[in-house]
Amino acid sequence: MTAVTRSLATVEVGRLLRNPFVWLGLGGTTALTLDVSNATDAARGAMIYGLAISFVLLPVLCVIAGVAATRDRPSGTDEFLGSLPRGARWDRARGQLLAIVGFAVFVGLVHAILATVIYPDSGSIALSSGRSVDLDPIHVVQGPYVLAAVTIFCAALGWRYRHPIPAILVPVLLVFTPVAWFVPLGLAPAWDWGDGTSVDAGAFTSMNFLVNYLHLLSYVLIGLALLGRMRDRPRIESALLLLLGLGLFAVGLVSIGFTGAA
Amino acid sequence: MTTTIRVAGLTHDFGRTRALDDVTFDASPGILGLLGPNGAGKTTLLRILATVLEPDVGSVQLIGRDPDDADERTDIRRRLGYLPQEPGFYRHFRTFDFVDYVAILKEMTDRRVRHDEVRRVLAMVGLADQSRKRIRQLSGGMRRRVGLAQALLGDPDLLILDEPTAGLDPEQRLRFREIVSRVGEDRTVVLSTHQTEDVAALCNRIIVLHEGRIHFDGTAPELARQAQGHVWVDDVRDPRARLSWRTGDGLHRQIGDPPVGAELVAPTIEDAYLLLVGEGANESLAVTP
Repeated sequence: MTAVTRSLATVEVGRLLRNPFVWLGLGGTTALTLDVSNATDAARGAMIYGLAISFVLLPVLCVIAGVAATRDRPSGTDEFLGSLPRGARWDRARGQLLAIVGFAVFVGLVHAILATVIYPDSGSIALSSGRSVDLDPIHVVQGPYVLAAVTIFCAALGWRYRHPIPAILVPVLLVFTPVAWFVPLGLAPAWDWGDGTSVDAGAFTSMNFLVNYLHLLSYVLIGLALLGRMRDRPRIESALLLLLGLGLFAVGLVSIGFTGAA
Repeated sequence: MTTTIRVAGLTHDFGRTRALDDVTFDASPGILGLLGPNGAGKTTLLRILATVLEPDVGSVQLIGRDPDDADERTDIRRRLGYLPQEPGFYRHFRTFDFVDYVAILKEMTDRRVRHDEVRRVLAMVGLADQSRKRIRQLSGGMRRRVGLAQALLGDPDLLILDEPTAGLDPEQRLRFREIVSRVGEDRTVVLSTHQTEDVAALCNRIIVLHEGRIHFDGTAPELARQAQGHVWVDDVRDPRARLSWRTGDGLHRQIGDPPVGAELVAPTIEDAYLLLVGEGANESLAVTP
């Protein structure tokens, strides 16, 4: 690793730490962690899930949007970078990736703490029928990690195509996925699958279907974005990021409140 | 005096369009101004000098090194400051952070030294008090100054500036002249512009490019002399004049072949420039080295 790479990684991390969304995400995580410690056992699993999916990934989103935005090259940047000493482009890429890895490690640590310290012995999600669905830690973390994978995919696209749009689309996933989680679970008791499958399993199946459907939809959106439909509109992109980020915050809170009260 | 730039027989085509045609010149420390209309080949020449474009034909030597050789090219880039016509800023960066970012890419890895250097160049271009502002919040003129600041990082031996005064107000242009003239005392500065006043005020040597070829290479007074005997004033517009405009004192200043008995006046470099590259340019006036 060259001194230039290290310096660039330091700058990237500094930029990310100055991003208000990062602090919003960490603040939200802290607040909900305190809330979880006072919750009933039945609601705790759902709250932890909501916590993990809605807030811990928010900093990751900001990281990726920030990095992708740096990769985004306005007209003339290539020419300008071309006049810099050899390796400048590779050093930039390496510095950015190093910053992402650092942040990914951080988020991974937060998840590990959630999974091992806060997660209750018998976490469950309360259904509207009054029954509850037991969740093992795999269930709790699968959603966030699916999203993490999609996030990394979006980041890779954004990085490759030097455009922040794919990263900005991540909030779409983050907003819709809790809905895809909780709505089917809430409706599950009314559904009759008629093939001996339990209602709860059906709910999970429908949830998975919805999540996959939304992911597919997001890929289409990403594809459209990569075609440059929104290119050269940085203000709109920023506004979109802000609105979706705040929307994510609200939907996360509403979803958790709804499920916890059920 | 050291020769910083040595180019010979530079030719470059973009598809069927010849952007540069057999361009040859040398340059030493001082300020060299490139004048020419849009499409004259100025930016292509500057891009070749900035090592971002390789010529199709011809040889280039910069700061005594050959940009064709990878190691020597790197060495050139370490000693080069370049302000492209469209620098393509990261608009969400703060001014200080952007220049700092470029400083890292210019291999300034010691944080304290680098920050001192960033502060120095920002102060030089008069942006010290704007260093915390995001680039998207700056005016066009201020952005040009940010571009100039990054080009000045590390006291480059060769400073290449493409349209540096575009969008600057009169005060900013004067400040720009002050900065560039200071750098040009012992370094080589190549600047392209449409502003003949900037060239007249700053450059100890001028090259006029037109349709990819050098039409003039000399000093500002020599350029002005090109129009000697071709500028006159009259009360009315002369239809035989190639260019004619009414000045503030009500007289018509005319450029071309004057009629017998015309009231000839001392030409400016703008007159000569218009005569060289304006509509119906007088090819016989062109001076090639």
